[in-house]
This record gives sequence, structure tokens and C-alpha cells, in this order.
Amino acid sequence: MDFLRPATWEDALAMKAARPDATPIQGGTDVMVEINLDKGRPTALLDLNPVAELSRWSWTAGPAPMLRVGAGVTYTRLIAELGGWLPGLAQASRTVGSPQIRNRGTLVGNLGAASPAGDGHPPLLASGALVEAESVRGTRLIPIGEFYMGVKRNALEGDELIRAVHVPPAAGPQCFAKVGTRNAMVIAVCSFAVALDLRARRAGTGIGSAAPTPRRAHAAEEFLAGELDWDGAGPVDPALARRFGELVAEAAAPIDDVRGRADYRRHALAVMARRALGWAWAEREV
Amino acid sequence: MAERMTVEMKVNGRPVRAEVSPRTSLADFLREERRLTATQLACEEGVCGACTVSMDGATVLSCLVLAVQAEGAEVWTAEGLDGAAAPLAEALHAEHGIQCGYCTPGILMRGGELLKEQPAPSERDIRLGLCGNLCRCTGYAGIVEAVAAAADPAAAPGERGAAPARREDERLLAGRGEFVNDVSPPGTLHVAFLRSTVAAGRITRLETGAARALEGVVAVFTAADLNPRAGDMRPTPLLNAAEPPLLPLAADRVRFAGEPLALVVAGDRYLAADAVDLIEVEIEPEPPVLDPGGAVEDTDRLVYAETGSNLYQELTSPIRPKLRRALEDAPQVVRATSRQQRQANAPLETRGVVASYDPDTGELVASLSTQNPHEAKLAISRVSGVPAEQVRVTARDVGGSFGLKVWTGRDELTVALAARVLGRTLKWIETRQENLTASGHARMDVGEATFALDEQGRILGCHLDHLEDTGAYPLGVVGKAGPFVGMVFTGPYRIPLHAFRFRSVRTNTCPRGAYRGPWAFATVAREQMLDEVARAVGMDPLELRRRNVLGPDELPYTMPTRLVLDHVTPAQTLEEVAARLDYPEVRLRQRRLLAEEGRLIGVGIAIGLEPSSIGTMQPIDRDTARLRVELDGTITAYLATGAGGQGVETTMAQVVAAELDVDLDAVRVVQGDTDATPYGRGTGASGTAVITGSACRAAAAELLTMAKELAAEHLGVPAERVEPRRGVLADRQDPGAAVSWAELAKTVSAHGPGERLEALGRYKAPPMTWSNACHGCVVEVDRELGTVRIERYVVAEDCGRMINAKVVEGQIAGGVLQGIGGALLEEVRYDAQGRPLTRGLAEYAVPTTLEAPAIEFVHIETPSPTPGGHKGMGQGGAAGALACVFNAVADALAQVGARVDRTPLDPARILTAFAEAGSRSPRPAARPPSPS
Repeated sequence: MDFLRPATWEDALAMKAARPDATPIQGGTDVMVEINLDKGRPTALLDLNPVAELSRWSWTAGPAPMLRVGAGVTYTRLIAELGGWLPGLAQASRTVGSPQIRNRGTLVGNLGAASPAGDGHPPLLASGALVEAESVRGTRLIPIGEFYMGVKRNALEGDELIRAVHVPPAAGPQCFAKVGTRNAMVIAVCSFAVALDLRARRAGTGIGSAAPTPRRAHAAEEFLAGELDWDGAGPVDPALARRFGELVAEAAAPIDDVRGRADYRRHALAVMARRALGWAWAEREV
Repeated sequence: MAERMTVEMKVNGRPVRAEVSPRTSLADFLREERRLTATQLACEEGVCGACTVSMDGATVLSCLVLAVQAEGAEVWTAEGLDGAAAPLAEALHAEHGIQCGYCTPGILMRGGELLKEQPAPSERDIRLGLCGNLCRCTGYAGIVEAVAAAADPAAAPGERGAAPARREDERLLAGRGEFVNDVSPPGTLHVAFLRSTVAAGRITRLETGAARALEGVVAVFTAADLNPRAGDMRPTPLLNAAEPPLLPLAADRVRFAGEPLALVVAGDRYLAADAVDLIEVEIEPEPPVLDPGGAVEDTDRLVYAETGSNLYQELTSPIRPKLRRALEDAPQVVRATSRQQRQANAPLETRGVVASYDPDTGELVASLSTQNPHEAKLAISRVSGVPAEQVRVTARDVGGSFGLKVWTGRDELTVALAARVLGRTLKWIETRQENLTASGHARMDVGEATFALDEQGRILGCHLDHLEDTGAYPLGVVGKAGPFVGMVFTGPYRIPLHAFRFRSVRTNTCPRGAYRGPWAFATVAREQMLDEVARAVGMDPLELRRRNVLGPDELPYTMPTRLVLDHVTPAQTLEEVAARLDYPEVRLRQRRLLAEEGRLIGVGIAIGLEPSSIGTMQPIDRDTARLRVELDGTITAYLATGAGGQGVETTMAQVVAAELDVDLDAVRVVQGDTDATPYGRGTGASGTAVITGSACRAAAAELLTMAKELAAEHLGVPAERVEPRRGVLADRQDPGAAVSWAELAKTVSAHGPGERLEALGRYKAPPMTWSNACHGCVVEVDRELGTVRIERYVVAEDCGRMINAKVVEGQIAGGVLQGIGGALLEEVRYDAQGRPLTRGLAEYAVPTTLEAPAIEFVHIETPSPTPGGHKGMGQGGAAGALACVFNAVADALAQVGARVDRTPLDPARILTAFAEAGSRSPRPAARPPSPS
């Protein structure tokens, strides 16, 4: 196993171009587990930690600025520094592993691993994030919905690296919910995120760990945009919330595995989606 | 492997420059290259937190960081904390937040960071902050209290009666504990096993050429190399049992996925693992025997073809006519089933051995992670052929065991044999995957019982049919423990008639080993079934227990199996728990919450009876202690025990100090070295307080007899007038006349420089010493998600005279959390081909801080008729808790007609129960589990 240590982003891109087989490593909280458990040792590791600029975040230019979260920003920093703008993502980040994992692990690392169970994916889907991928050939922005290609597969080309992820700041209440086999240190049995956009009167959704890839629940989103009484006071209509939950569950394609059964996942998603909508809506009233 | 790279970093304030392979993790770099062994490895997948270090100001998991990634970093380990962690270290010491100590350095690192981030954390903050640091011993109670106390000393619960802090803690807090992986003599070679991934089949090819050719590989052993040289691998109690032979490596057949096929010896552990991957193996799979129920009758698929049956043991006690009539004709007859899942002990420290054979001296020295050093010595001698007097076993610190390490495992013995064959020093540290798939499993019992009751709910008799899955090979005394479940099934109840059938079967699964209460199923099954009986006859489970539990004036009570129950307080503990829980109030609240808010609350009670220190269980029914007076007047106690977190060095010192009336600090306990200590039983089976404690007392009495004689000469008075008093031997009639222990030691040493005042004490346990406890809890079940939250947890227990209340509570709290794990979370699982699915601590979910309830204790101290009046209590917590939590969940579910009969009660199982209730009952009270 070769260990490549670029000093700058340009070096990193050049190394990745020369060694498409190299696995990028940032916090290592995914990659190292694979290596330690002998689930396949990469031929080379490309350590992005020395590239200091990756650990910064900034605002993008333009009429609708987004938060550009560098590939080296850890969950701990994301929660502390960006939680005000990205509450759903921060809420999901708080459920990632343990404090030690969050001190080291990064959201972009989660994207690179593209595990269907990654906690960061549902809120990214719900808020319509963009993945900034770059290679020596150039930069492209991949809409998050097009990024996940299959179990642990993403849309990156062999020479591409993720430089950052662009996330729109919340335009309304957001909520993330997750069930696991215990209360901490768990990979999700299934998870769900909802982001309400009160100005545009629509909702984004994201489902985790209940399909080969993280995915949105399009029909549920359309249902809310059309049926939710966006001006209404008081709690969300229970029948509407239940229907929303059902539509979210219908969007999932879960399997049975060691963490949970498909029917449980579908059921739990319906419950979580209904509750998450209720919680998010209640937050709006405050 | 690529060439080595240079890395520079600062470790504990000192600059370090080294050449490392890029594959080396920071944890291994710190441990192996820097010899900083406080940082421990226990999962290597970022779940357990034992390897937590601080890197550039934030805690990270050093198993998930490569050493080369720490280039330029500032790294701190527990060894470097010194005074920095003092308040937390002191608090962990004071609050008994340490047992085996394996997780302690990680707790110190993360706890320190937590206190920096949140100087005044709430209990919830502490639990969230430490959720990534697993502890399998303490139930987290002492740890959470310690962090709170470190933040606010005024919040400390304060000194408890006779509960001195543990003397094991100092070295563990300083990161100077010595676990087996910390032992690395120069020239140590590393061992890795190739294991079967197939549950049953015939080995058709095993090609080791490529592995042998790998640079750095010293040897590759297969069955052909080692099996012919191996002596009897069975543990001492099973030596005379008729069993199929147990051999180091699978020769032609494999019988479970995880069975060792070959052993590689190489220069480092990564190389050894790489070489294992190069061995080519082909196994022709056969359909495995997996279901214990089906295995009984199955004569086509056999774990051992030569035996003609999968039935391993069968023991039936006759159903006499009176019982038969009761079971057929009693006014109320209830049948109940209880199934307990397959579990794993999962101590934080896996198994391991460092074995060294010196061909010149013929001596074999082995460091093991073991509860029972002398048994390890005997077993290693038998297997390796090295005479016992030339085998030395040491085991200083053991990172938890819970029964797993009481009998020496096949793998450790195989490594010791390989060391003998090679004449080298070999180290094998079990990976977590091996630990969860090949070290030994626990439980997997099915009980079906029939209870006969009269109209008033008094139990007239019962019958238990008990089936136990032993896995592919019997380990330890488990085969002998199974029938005991039936023997003690009636427990603390007035049940005049009882009979049972016990059967154990072999399956193509990991062998079953000892785990916290090998007969725990008696408590688990009975208490779960009693609730089922109560529901069937329409009586509150507390009331049913009140009508049947033995009261103080009924003791001694002869159980139907002729075992005599005495010096126990089941009725009193039951009432204590009912009162603490405010039982009638909980029932009212339960009904109100269901009616008004649709919420499901449940209350559960379980009475446990723990048979400890069993006098018929050779060779662990007895122990020997040696006491020696040193020249400075201090006393050294040499014990055969092993340090698994039970605080033996503290409690046994307390016993000796009390007997001799010397200062606690004047007594030192030496254990875990077969050369230094007399032969004995080790630590296990809840026997230390009674058996080892009584051996200490016997030795103290012997020492006092000699000391009194000597003192009498000194003082010029008859020996009868001499008594130990506050560290000296004094004349009863003249308070001023006394002689110190140091003076006596010097008197003896005058006979020769090596002469010491010393005494040996022996003790053999009486047939049975019972302890008892009642557990009670309140839970809430989420009706939609099937999740369970424990609201309150109360334990009223009677372990006789407590030596150290905090050690007692620590044992119970740890047991309770393992019971909660068994009730709700933990299950070892296989797929339909018998391949393990739970291979790491991410999949095998042991409880974190967030599942651990705060426990309220009530102590009743009814002395046992043994010298100290103690009773064993190390195992009952787990059995009581499992049944108690199960009963609470079942109670909640019963309100809506849902029923459960097996653990773990995971959300999917609970929702299935709701669904079945919905389809049975005309009034579906529960939401359907699935929209489909």
C-alpha cells in the first residue's frame, strides 16, 4: 500500500490523475475501518489532510449564496460553526459515531464512501446540495441527487476528487431522524431528513439506509408542496402527515440485513417522516 | 508492502522521529514503537473508544489514524496526562469508575476533553460525551458519577460505609496496567489464524506455499504439523468425559465457521494477517446443523457422524405421579415458553497469549488473558508436553472476561504448543472478529414449562423442558452446568413438586462457553414464565410472587430437587423493590397514560437466586491462600486469583487486614503468577468472596497462631493473652505491652536470611452458598417504532456481609447492563449457511452510556454460614436484569394484547408482536407494524 502525501490541492489532483487507483483519505473513519477489517486494502492512499485549504468553509458568490464546506471540515466543526445555517445537517452530524469520530470524520468523506447508511446524505438531499468535484481536467458541480450511483459507488471519475460540498442555507425548519440498533455508535437502520422552504413553499426530503443509495422521496415532496397549508397556523394536519409518511416509505427500497429487516425499515421510515414533519412544522410556529 | 516512511511528531510533549510502514496505525505506532501501552485496541473499527488519544487538541481514535498521518502533529496519550487529568483520575478512583481498567485510558482522554468543553456538564451531557467509550464492566455508573464529581466535587455522592477505593486503580489510571498485549519480550513473533468461513464441510485443499514464501513469515502450521504433538486440550473438569477429541487445528472436517485451519507465525501482526490471506483453502460445504430444536431429531445431518446423533447430553428427572396429577388436573394449568438468544461475552479485551519456550532450559513461560492462571498452567502443560513445574503462567491485568477466560481456549493452547515446537516467543492477540465468532458463545437456550396452580394462584408443581445449544465443541464446564438449570429452576418459591428434562445438542456453531451465570437461564426462564402465568390466571405478577415466594419463617427450605435453600431473603427483597418502585402508583400511572395519551408503560420484576461457591464443582470448589509477613511488617497475600476487574486485590486485602487488625495499606495482594502463588481456583463462578476470602481467613488464623506464640515469647505472657490490635500483637491485660509484626518477622529471619513468618490457608466450599436479589424496572415502549426506554431501575440484593459496598454495586451495575444488553440489544447471528453475521462491535451491539440506566440499590446483609458471612454475587445481576427488563416490556405489550417469548426484544420483534396482536384481537390497539 503506497501512501501519497500531497502538499497542495494541485499536487493532490496531479497525484490522483497519475494514480486513479488511489483512495483519498481525510478523517479515515471509513477508509481505515475497511483496511483494519481487511475488507479490501487499497493499493494506494491519497492523504488530503496536509492540504490545509480543504479545512475551510466559505460562502459562494452569486444571487443565492451557498455554504461551501471544504472536504476537510470535520463534523465537530460543522456542528459548531455551521449549525445555525444548516440545522438539519448539524442534527445529522451529531448522530455520527461518537465525539472522537466527529472530531476526525468529515461530511465529504461520507460522500466519498457513498455508503447508503451515511448520516450526512439525507439532509444533503433534502436541502439540494451540490458536490464540487475536480480533476486536472477541470471542475464540475454535481447535483446531490445525481451523485449516488449504487452501494458505495458515486459519480466521481477515477481522476476526480471532491473539493467541497455546496449547501444552501436553511430556508425554513429542518429535521433529521434516525433509528439504530442502539442509541449511540450506530450505523443507521434507516434515517430521514426533511427541509422546509417556507418562501418557496416546498419541502426537500432525504432517505438513508433504505435503498441501494440515499434518495429523495419525490412523490412525498410534491404532495407536501401541493397539499400542505403553508399559511396555516397550528400543528400539521395528522392525516396529511400520515400520508406524507406513507409516501416517504413508498419511496424506499429497503433490504433485510444484520441491522434490520426491510419491513421494519419501511414502517419506521413512515413513522419518522411523519414525526419529523410534525417537529419541523412546530419549529416554524415558534 | 511499500517501503518505510519517515514520520515526525510530538508525543506527550517530546519530539519523535521514526521510520514506519505506511500501514502502521497510530495506535500500533504508539504501542509497539513507542511502548506507550495505555492506548488499547478493542475493535479496530472506531466503535469502542479504547484507543482514544488526543491529536492536535482533539480526541481521535488512534486505530483509525495512520502513523504517517500524524506527521507534524502533537499527540497525547494517557501516560502523558500526569497532573492534567488529576481531578478526573481521582474521581474515577473514588467513585469506582474503574473495574478491569481496559477502557480507562480512553475514558481519561475523552472525559478530560469533555470537561474542557463543558465545565459543568449535565448527566445527559456526560452520557452523550462518553457514548463512544464502551465499558463492559461498570455499567457506566461509576464513570458518569466520576465525571460529574470531577466537574463539581460537591456533587460527589460521598464516602460510603466500608467501601475503600481500589488499589488496582493507580496503575490502571497511569496507563501502567499490564494486559497481555502489553507484554512484548524482545524477539516476539506474531501469530494469525486462518479460519474456516464454512460452517460444516470437508477440507479438500490447504495450500500454504505462497504464505510460507512471503518475506517475514517464519512458519505456517497446519493440523498435520501440530495435531500429532498435542496432548489433551480439554479443561481439567472434562478430562475424563467421553468426548470427541479436541485438536489444535481442523484436520479433515470443519464444524463451525471460525474453526482454526492453520496458524501463521511472522515478524509483525500485519504480515501474519497478509500471509493468512495467501493460504489457499477449499472446503466442500455440507448442509450445517444450525437449529438446536431440529438438531435433536436430525440423524441425516450430524455434527459428528460417528456419534449417530446430535444429542450431546440428556438428563431427566422422573415425573412422579403426584406431579403428573397436578400438571393434568390442577385448577389452573399454564404452559409457557422462554427462549434466550445466542450472546457473546464480548469483554473489551479479547483473548490473547504470549508464549515463550526456551529449548535450553525446557521452560515454557506464558502470559495470558485469563481468570484462572493455574488452570492455564496445567492445560498448557498437558497440551505442550512441558512438565507443569516447568510452565509458568502470568496474568497481571485482564480486560474483562465474564467467564470467557476461565478455561484456557483452544487457540491459546495451540499458540503455546507452536511456541514449544518453534522454540520461540509467539504472541497472539485475538481480533474482535475472532472474539465474536470463534472464542466461545453464550446462552442459546429454549425452555418450555408447565405450571400447575390452585384457585388462589399458589403453585402446586411445575415441569421444565430445557434445551441447550452447546455449539460444535464443548468448552469448559458448560456441559455440567446445563442440568443445574433444572435443579434450581423452582428458585425462591414454594413449589412442592418439580421435574425437568435437560438436553443439550451439538450444532455447527461456535462452541458455547461460560458466561456470567452458566445457569442464569433458571432465573431468566422462571421469572419470564411467572409473568406469563400471572397474565394467564389474571393475577398481578407481584401478587403471584407474593403468594408463592418463600418467607423468612419457611427457611431452611428443601427444594424438590433436594437442594436446601437458607440464609436468603427473597420475600424481603421483593417488598423492598415494590416499595421503592411505588408499585401501586406505577400501575395507576400505567393505566392513565394508556387511556389518556396512548402511551405504553410497563413494569417488570424478577427475583434471582444465585447459587455461588458450589462445593461440588471440582476443582473450583476450593482455594489456597498464602500470607507472609515481610521484614517491614507488611503482609503479602499470595492468591491464585486473576485480575478481571472484580477488585480482588482490594477486597482480599480488606479481609486480611480485618482478620489481622492491621492497616489496609499494610496488606499487599499478589496474584496472576503461578510461580509466586499457590495452586488455586482463579477468579470466577462468583467464588472469590466466599472461597478465596475464607482461604485468606484460614491463612490469617494460622498466621495468628504462630504470631501469638512468637509474641508471647517476646512479651513473656501466655499465648492466649496475645491478640492482634491495630497493627501490633498486644497483651490483652496490659495495653502497653505489644510487639510489632516487623519485630516478629525479624525474629523469624534470625533463623536464616530467607526465613519468614508465613502461613498457608485452605478452604473448601460447603455444598451451596445462595445469594439473592430482586430487580424491578419501569420501561416505556414506543408503540410506533418498537423502541424501549428504561425509566427506572431498582435492585434489592442480599449478598451477605459486604466486604466493599462499591465493589458489590459495581459488580451488580455491570451485570445489570449486560442483562439489559441481552434483553434488548445483543444477539450473535448466523445466516442460513451458518456464516457469522455479527463480526464486530458495530454489529454486536453492546450497550453504551445511553442505554445504561441509573440504578438504585437496596442492600440487605443476611450473613451466610461461611467464615466471613459473604455470598457470591458476580453473576446474578445479568440474569435478574434480563428477566426484569423482559418482563417490563412484556407487561407494556400485554396491555394491547401483544405477546413475546424470546429475547432480544428488538424493535422489529416488538412491532411483530403488535401486528400479531392486531390480527388476533378484534380491537387492534396497536398500530400495524408495516404499511404494506
